[in-house]
Amino acid sequence: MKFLMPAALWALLGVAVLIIIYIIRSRHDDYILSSTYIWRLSERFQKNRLPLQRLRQFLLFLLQLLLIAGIAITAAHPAKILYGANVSYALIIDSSASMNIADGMGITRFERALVKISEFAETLNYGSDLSVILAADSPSYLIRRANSKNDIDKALNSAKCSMGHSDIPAALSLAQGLYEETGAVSIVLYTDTDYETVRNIEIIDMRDESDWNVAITSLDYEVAEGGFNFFGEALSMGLDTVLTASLTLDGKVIDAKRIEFADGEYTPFVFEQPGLATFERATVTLSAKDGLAEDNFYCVCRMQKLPANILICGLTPYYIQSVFEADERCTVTVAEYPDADLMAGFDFYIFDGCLPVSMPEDGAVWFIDPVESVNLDLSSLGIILGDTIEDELAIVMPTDASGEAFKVLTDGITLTDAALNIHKRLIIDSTWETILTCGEDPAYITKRMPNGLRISMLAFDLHASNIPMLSDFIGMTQNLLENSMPKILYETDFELGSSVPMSVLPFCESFYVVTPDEEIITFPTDGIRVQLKPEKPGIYSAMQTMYTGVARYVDFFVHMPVSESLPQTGGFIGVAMTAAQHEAMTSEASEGAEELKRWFAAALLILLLAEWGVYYYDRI
Amino acid sequence: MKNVVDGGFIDLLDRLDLNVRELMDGRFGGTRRSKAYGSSPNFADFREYQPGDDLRRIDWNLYGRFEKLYLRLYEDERQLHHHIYIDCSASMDWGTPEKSWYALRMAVALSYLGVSAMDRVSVFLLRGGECLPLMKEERTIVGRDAFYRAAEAMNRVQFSGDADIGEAVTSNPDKARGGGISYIISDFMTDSDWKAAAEQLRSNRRETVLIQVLARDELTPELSGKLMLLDSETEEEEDERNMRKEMTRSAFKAYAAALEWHQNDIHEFCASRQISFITTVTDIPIEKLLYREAATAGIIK
Repeated sequence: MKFLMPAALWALLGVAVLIIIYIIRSRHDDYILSSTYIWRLSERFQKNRLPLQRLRQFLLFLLQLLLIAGIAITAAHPAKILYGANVSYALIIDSSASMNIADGMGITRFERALVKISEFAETLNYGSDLSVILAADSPSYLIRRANSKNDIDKALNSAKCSMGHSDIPAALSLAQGLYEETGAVSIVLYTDTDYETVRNIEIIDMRDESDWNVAITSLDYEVAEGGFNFFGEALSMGLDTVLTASLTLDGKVIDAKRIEFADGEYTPFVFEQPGLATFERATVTLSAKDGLAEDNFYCVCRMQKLPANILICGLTPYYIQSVFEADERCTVTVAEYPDADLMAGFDFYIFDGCLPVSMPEDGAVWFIDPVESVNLDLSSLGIILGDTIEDELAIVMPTDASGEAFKVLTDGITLTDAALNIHKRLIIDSTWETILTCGEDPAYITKRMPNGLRISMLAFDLHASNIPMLSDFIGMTQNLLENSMPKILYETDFELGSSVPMSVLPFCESFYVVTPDEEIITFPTDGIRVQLKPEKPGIYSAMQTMYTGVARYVDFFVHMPVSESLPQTGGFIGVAMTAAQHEAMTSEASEGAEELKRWFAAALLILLLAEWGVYYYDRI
Repeated sequence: MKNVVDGGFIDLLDRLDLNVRELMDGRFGGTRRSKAYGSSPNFADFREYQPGDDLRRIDWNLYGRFEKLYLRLYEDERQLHHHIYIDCSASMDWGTPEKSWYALRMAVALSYLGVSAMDRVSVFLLRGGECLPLMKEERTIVGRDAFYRAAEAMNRVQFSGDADIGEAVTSNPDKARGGGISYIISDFMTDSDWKAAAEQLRSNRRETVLIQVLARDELTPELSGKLMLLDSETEEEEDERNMRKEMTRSAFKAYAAALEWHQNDIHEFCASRQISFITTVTDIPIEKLLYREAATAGIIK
């Protein structure tokens, strides 16, 4: 032990002062009484005194002596001399999903890493400090340059492993930053990934021999024999085994089968459901008590076709009307003229040979054979109507078309031998995408409005074309209907770690997502698109309620990154620190001192309390 | 010192009398009832007539009933001789007001009540082992003139040194056997054998009364710190009666216990020997003592 302010030890002279005070105070003041008879008699009654009463004076002296000595020593800043290497440690914990794999005892790789770091913190030399970096999607410091075991343990207790990927290079960049700050850093990575080349990093493999994990790595379906086939692949790592896989459709277990797994080999499986008419969610689950439960199931969510309320305005809407009325989910309203009071409350507005007074805002719009009208200025939409061309022309798909709209609106359409006699020449701006052409002119154009609703236009009269007679006409209208109204989601299978883009439907009043943990995440409805960053694998439900009270929902599945279920290997990792630097750094010894002031202060407080206790004991 | 006698005090005493509980022999003359038959108006007994008896005392009514001559006997009234012993040690010169002044006032009161009842009174001062008369030239106070002379003498009494009550009282040559009340006025906070004095007085067939006078700070001392307690009756610091003492809570508890034990000891001693005992504190007015405590104890009526 040494003293950082030894001059304060002069206060020890107070001990001598105390002794002198006691010597002076030990004199008894004379006091004359009429008689001491009763006082002498009282000695007999005071014989059975407690030891503390007899020792009170001595104890008081001793405690006061210790108090003075304690005050002097505390003021001198006592410190414990410490020796050690002055090193900054950067400990990186791989917090990818695979680190959640538990061993036979139920302890995960991540938990083992935390224990190891805690043990490491216990052996931390004086002068050294320790930083813990949590390498998740976005690595961050769990604790930075700490040397208190308590602080480190506290930080470790708050650490949580993610279910996604880990960005080890980004974590190493953080550690490199520490190196630039301190000039010396020793980096340790706790991971379950094999790296081919490692430089200046100590790798601690957190895998255990008893680790075993099975995972379903994929699941899909196909229409077959009037029903559906569900097929996918599963994998067992660390064990040859036979497991039961079950198929659940919309919450009911429909089928189950035994699957034989060979260690490390993909095993395909198929569930055939020939009589199945439809389904919303199909889940395959493996019954296994393995290291990680989150990858033992996989779900496919089928996008449902939504009902549509359609308005057709025109004097001769027969073709269109018959196509949509043949579709059970469509409710068709027909009007000869686009009256203003009809311009709200529909999902899809079709104007055949006419134009509305104002553009409807709550639904998609399809113009057929547009005409000049005082009702609506088409130039505000980026269209100028040209001359009417009377010529027999073939309707074809442009050879150079590759836009997103083109793909979805011509999906399944060949349009062989389509032709027209009369069409209007259109001059369009670049916001429009041409789907079909006749000659040099666009015949079928489309564009999506900022609110996600599509506006499309056929530049010819259907009655002057053979298209309604073609079988492709139904597909074309269906494609247009399906893709004119925005969808909440355009796909239903996502990998954890990626963002889930969702559309806010026009006139949506509430929008929330229910997570696998039954948590409800609410989103604002004033935007067009929102992003969700799932944190857990499982089935999510996105739900939006329209101003009409109609609810639209869609389920989607977020699966664990498949790579996290497999044995992971990496290439090169390293930091720009030379081995010589590292060697020099760890061998450099330093001397320091840990202040013991607070311990002495605590002891002083106890002494003070004891002194008060003894002083006031038996005092009048 | 203030005058121990004043007019108001004497007027107060005129309404009181000493209570003599036992019938005593006494001397001829006086007003106290005695065991002897005499010529007082108080009837005592009958006795058969014997030749030579005064014929005027024959009870003729009894003769009519029993045809025998009976003589009516009457009590004789005698003069008693009271002794008042005053502890004149230095410890009595203590308190507010001083115990000494209180003791002298008590002695004055008792003396006045004695001489008022035609009794004789002797006042003795206990100093060291001696029992000294208040007035050498007039050892017995008889009559009011003598009383006032004695009262004057009491104003000059000095309280100093120590007093061995036992030795002083027992060595008093004036035994006055069987004829009065002996009062010892002291604080009784002494190592001396006061019990021997009381026992000897009782053996001399004297009615005995102990009057303890204490100061308030002797009942509830207010001391603090570490003290060398010096007994006022000692002359040297090395005297074994002097002691070192730290005033703590337990020390005061022990003092209270010792005081209680001491008082109980006096009470038990007096009760077992039919000795009257009263204790008083100097801050209690002496009038209250005489009218209440002394009357209750049967010392004064």
